[in-house]
Amino acid sequence: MTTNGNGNGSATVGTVKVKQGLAQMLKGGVIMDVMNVEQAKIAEAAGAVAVMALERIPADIRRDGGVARMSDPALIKEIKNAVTIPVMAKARIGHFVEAQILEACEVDYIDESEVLTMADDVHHLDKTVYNVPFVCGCRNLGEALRRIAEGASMLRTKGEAGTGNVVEAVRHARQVQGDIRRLSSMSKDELYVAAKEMRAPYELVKQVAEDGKLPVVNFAAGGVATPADAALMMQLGVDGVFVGSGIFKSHNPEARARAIVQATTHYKDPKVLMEVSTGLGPAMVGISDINADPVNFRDREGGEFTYKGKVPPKKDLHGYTETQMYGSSWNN
Amino acid sequence: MSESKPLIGVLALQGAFEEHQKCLEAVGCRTKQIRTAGDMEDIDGIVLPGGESTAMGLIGTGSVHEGKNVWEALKEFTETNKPVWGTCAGMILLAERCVGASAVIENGQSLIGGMDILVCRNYFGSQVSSFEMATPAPPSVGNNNNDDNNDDDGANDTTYPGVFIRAPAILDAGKDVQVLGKVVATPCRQAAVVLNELEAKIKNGEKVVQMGVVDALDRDQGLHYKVVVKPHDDESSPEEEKKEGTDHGGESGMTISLPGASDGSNAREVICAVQKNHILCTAFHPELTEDYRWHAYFAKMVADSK
Repeated sequence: MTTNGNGNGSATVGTVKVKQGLAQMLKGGVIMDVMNVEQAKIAEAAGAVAVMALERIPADIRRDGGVARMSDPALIKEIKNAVTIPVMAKARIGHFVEAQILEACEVDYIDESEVLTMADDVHHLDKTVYNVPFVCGCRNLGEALRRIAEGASMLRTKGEAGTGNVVEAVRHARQVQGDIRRLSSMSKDELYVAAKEMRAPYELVKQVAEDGKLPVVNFAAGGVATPADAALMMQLGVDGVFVGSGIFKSHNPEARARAIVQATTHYKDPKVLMEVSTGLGPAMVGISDINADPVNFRDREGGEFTYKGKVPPKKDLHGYTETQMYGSSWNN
Repeated sequence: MSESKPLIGVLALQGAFEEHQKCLEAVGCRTKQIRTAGDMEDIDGIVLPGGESTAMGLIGTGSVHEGKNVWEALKEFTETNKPVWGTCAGMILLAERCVGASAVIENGQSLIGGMDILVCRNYFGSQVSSFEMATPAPPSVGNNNNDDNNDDDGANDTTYPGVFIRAPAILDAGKDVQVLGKVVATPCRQAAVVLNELEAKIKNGEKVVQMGVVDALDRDQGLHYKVVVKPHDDESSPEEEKKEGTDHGGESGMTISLPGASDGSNAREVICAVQKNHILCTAFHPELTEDYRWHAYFAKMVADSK
């Protein structure tokens, strides 16, 4: 959309540069999941660079089950009114009408998120048609480049949200970095097969091989619960950190939020990390054996929704409204 | 560059500091990331990058290093004659006065100050209103370095591809401040409310140093948002905001309207680039382009100051 006063110049909104540019402005910062205005204010006052407005944080979605959907626009508007930092919101994978509604709410970023129940287990959103930018999760470089091809302006590791366990986020960050290093060392004629094997567009594979880095910002997400977790992810080479359940499932959210913000800036300075880690009170309890947990957010990807190896057991359903946490492609 | 290249610090609390480093290195400077007061000892100039100004203020003032925190060191640095450049959030930090600040944070937006301007945060609106537009080019630095300029909307020697991301605008600049660029735009809904409040206060003769956004919810409950008011002094005239509702387009620059703008015709002329002696401010993001002319201009300011 372009409007122009006297022919001297014109402003263009929704360009790739401004969509990716906002993610660049968030670098080195912490994005916090919040469920109400009070929590949003705590996050802003603690130094968050953005908040993610949710009705339920991932830990509660894991525990309670049921279909997880986009938040009520009323909640998003309340939070937008209360804080001056960017406000993000989640849409279900493939649910383009939720994305249209969130764009009409003028959220600053949409997370096409595997934490919500998939609305389309084959297709992701065409993210190029929106003026609002999108962030998507990835487990490896192939998945990252598939999302970029669809128009994602920012990436994050998937990790395993709501567990307070950073192991999956570490796995995904290392996998992406390792895939990039592998591409960088390949000869040009090997990139065609590499693109085929990682099921990503050749042009993006070639670009990553040449640049040695992703074309968009990549944050850590899914299991970060302590300042040390945040600094660990930063030292592993991510550009910033999402903290979901880790803050408001802990005993002292204000102090923990401030500490994680400082740890993300001073991630290379162990003395600062020691000081900010001191006396924060208990962290969220979390889940230590992720493979045995019946909920698996991280493997939800349109068209890729298969389990390799052991399939986790179905959980017992209580009442008519409760569903399994897996998409309809889960046959076992 | 016969002698050693200038060393320019880039504040690295948060934001697009790596992008600035890349641009500054492309115009022949050495760069250094600044996180603590100690990092600032040997630098010839400093860039405050784009990012979130609230987060930078909180991280900078809440620093846990012993001794001086980086915020105090930055204030001292701006009082020397070494060049300082703030882009977007960095510009907000250098402003003496700020409206549209967070209503949540206890002491409002932490400012470094040094530039006699009144800024409005998020003037243009939320991300759907972020835009690219041709803006005035920096003052010439001799040989223009715009061969990489691949912007197709008429950019040439006199324009520069401006990238505005949830950008602030300068509403008023002091007498000694040199204005390098202007744009006429309608404020976003939230900024329009802030500006109405600001104008009412100016009419009452108050000198507003800082004012928070209006929290619509608190407002409905009859609570007042945070306003910091300094006793009126005579250095600035209350006439400065008289343009309301009348100046639409006018003499300079282009009129733009963006999604999320307030209703009505309260478009006004705002400033997007200023300089005062050794301090430079831009509301847009030269670090996101491949056009290094603003960085070359700042590099020359640094070279001239040595």
